[in-house]
Amino acid sequence: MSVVKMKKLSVVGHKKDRRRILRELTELGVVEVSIASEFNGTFVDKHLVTCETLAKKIARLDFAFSFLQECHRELKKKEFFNSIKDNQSCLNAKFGKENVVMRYEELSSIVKDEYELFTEVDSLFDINSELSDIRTKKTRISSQLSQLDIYAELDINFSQIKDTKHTSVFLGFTDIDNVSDALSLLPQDAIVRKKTALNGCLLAIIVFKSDAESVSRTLSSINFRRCPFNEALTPLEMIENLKSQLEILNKRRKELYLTVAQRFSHLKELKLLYDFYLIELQKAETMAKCRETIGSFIIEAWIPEESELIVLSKIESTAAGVICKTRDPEPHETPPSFVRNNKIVGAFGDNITATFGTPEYGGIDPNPFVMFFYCLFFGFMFSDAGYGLIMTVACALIILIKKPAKRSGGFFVMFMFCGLSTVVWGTLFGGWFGLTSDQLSGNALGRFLLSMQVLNSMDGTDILIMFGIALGLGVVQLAAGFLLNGVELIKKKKAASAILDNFSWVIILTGGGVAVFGILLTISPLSLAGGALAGLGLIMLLLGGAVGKKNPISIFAGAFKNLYGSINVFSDILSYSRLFSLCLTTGIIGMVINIIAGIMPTLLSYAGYVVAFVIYAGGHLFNFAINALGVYVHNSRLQYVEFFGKFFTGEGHPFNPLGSKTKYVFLTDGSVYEQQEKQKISNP
Amino acid sequence: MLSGTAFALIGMALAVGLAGIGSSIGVSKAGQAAAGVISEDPSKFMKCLILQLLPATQGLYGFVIGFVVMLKLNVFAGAMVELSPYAGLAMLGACLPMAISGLLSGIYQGKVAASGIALVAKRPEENIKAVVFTIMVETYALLGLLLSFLAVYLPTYA
Repeated sequence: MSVVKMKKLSVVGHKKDRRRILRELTELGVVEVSIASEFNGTFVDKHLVTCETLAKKIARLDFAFSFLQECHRELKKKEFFNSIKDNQSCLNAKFGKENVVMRYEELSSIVKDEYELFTEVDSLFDINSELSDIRTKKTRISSQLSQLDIYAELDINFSQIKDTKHTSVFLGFTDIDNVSDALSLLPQDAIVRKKTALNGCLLAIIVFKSDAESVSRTLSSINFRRCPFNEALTPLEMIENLKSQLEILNKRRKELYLTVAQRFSHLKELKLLYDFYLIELQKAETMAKCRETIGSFIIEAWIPEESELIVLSKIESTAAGVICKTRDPEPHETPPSFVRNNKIVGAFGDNITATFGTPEYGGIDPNPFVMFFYCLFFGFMFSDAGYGLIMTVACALIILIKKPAKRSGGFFVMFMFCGLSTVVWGTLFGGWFGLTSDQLSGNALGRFLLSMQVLNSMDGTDILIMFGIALGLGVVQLAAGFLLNGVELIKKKKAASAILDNFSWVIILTGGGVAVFGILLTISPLSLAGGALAGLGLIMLLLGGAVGKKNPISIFAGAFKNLYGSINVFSDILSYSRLFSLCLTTGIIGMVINIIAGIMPTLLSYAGYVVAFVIYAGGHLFNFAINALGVYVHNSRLQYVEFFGKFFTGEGHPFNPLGSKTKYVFLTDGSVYEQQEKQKISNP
Repeated sequence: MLSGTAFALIGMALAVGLAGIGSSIGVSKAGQAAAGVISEDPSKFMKCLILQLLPATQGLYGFVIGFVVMLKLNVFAGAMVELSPYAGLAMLGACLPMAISGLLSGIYQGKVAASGIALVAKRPEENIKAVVFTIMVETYALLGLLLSFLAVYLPTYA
């Protein structure tokens, strides 16, 4: 449960063995290749060409996924319902990560089907371009149709309307209703036919050619658009024509989508191929980092110390003549941080700590503490045992039924524990779906639940106690933060700063806590002892500001600065009042929902029961969701700002072994591999 | 004669109303930004929705205070408590921290949420950081809620 100790591995071998060794390193899943140090006579071959080809293959597969997904959306529409109702692979197509763990070797076997799969992708390309072609054609036809609609009542061919030797014909449409002013400007001998049509009017004007130019100008002032058609067909014939074209296009479109519907059976293979190439790309990029000579290569990498033996034996058995060496990291090197936690702590690490940062190599792993405090605070803020129970059961069911592969279910594991904590706090506070104690005491179960209640959020004194507990929990977390920072500083051999700047705070906060406790319970020795302890801490803190300074003014200023800095600590403590505020919100909104639902039957008689049920269910669902979200984010904030602010910078860089970045399947990692090996050793 | 109960109800109205206005402005600002992002990439819906919902809580907090005022006035049991004008004014004053902090923090939180949504548009993997930035603003609404709650709930108004 910590940041794992790393070792630097150097491998030197013949170039012919390089691919095999890289394969082996990927299979191991615990090797992060680093940029090789320079040696005389070695060079770096960039292998850029390979990277580019691989990236292109990945891009083609990417296209396939997005195109299939788009088609999947389309195929789910009503028009395809009957055609695909028996096509399970299409109906159940999933585009996310598969819940599968496999060995790299198994994944690699997909490459034998590469030719068929890429042919498939190419055919999807063709279908896509035909579909977009159809889309363009359909848009053109529908715009033509909407124009033709205007001329629908014209019963002669468009081609018949044309200029003669002496006259010009203006047939067209304007969207301006009042055209009489413009028409009065036309020459006296113009023949004008006008027809009011959809959103405007249709005009046919015949004038002498000599007037054509001026008429055209007049007409342009009323936004006149000349008829764009000159086909030897009547408008109705044209409309018919276009509609039948549209029908053919629609039919073809449907055919194409149904063709695609048959392709979903290969989705999983495509995913495997994608991940295979993703790893190939990582390998190629790795090679680009390594130095080589004409006949040999060097790989330098970080491996966890605990996997050292297995890694060495694997590489040595892969190729003859390979030289492997490991050594401890040198002071100027920063190894990657490989944080290894058990499944439960890891769940909090992956979902809370990882979003903030990665512990530094050799630093403290905050995850166990985050787990403890996150759970503790979550329950306090969510504070309704009923909701907590639902959360725990729901998460447990999801984990049991879906059996998330590897650590992908961490989110649910985390909320399962948060739910448990909510049940505990909720029971202590008597929070059960926002029911009041009067309502609860109405039946045996309620009375039993109430018997476990310690604090009542509707009672004046208890409210203040709850508020106090919230701040107290904050004090505990802050003290833990200072303590961890102190321990860290001692490890870095900065004992003075550890004791005076950090442990002093632990003492002040503990002493203060004890003193407040003493005052509340009126035990004067306790309050005196606490006060003295806090005073001692304060003196240490002031000393901390003064240490290492000679000038009396700067001694004073340093001490004052530390004292002034304590304001931050007090505002941090105050920040924990959100624990109490959010605790109130859940309970009160739940109570309001119950009241509103409760008055429905009296208001609406029998129908009221139905309405009441809807309000109960919907209201509590809403309260659950909005408060879970609020608690989740406020709780994270307390960890990131108040807690991490004291000791954790998150500036380490995460361990990123070869083969760890997959998009659609999970690969077994070294730890699993090691276990298998151990079993083999123990039962030969 | 002046009715203190009326003052108390005005306080309730301010807490629920102003905090509600703050939230609606905040949520609508964030919602407009979110709609823009979704038009480009519908898959970011959940991430944007979470950010959009963050300024919604002020309205709820205001509602909680309004509810506590109603509890104190015994509205649910039927006969409302008749407060003296001073007690009523005091209760109105007790509602103001929530009303004011809810109104302004809701609006400003909405602005941060909208920027957070822009962040999600560019770098969806950093959404939690956008959430943390947005949450910073909410602290002050929570403090308002806390004080209003204690001031309305704890004393005996007569």
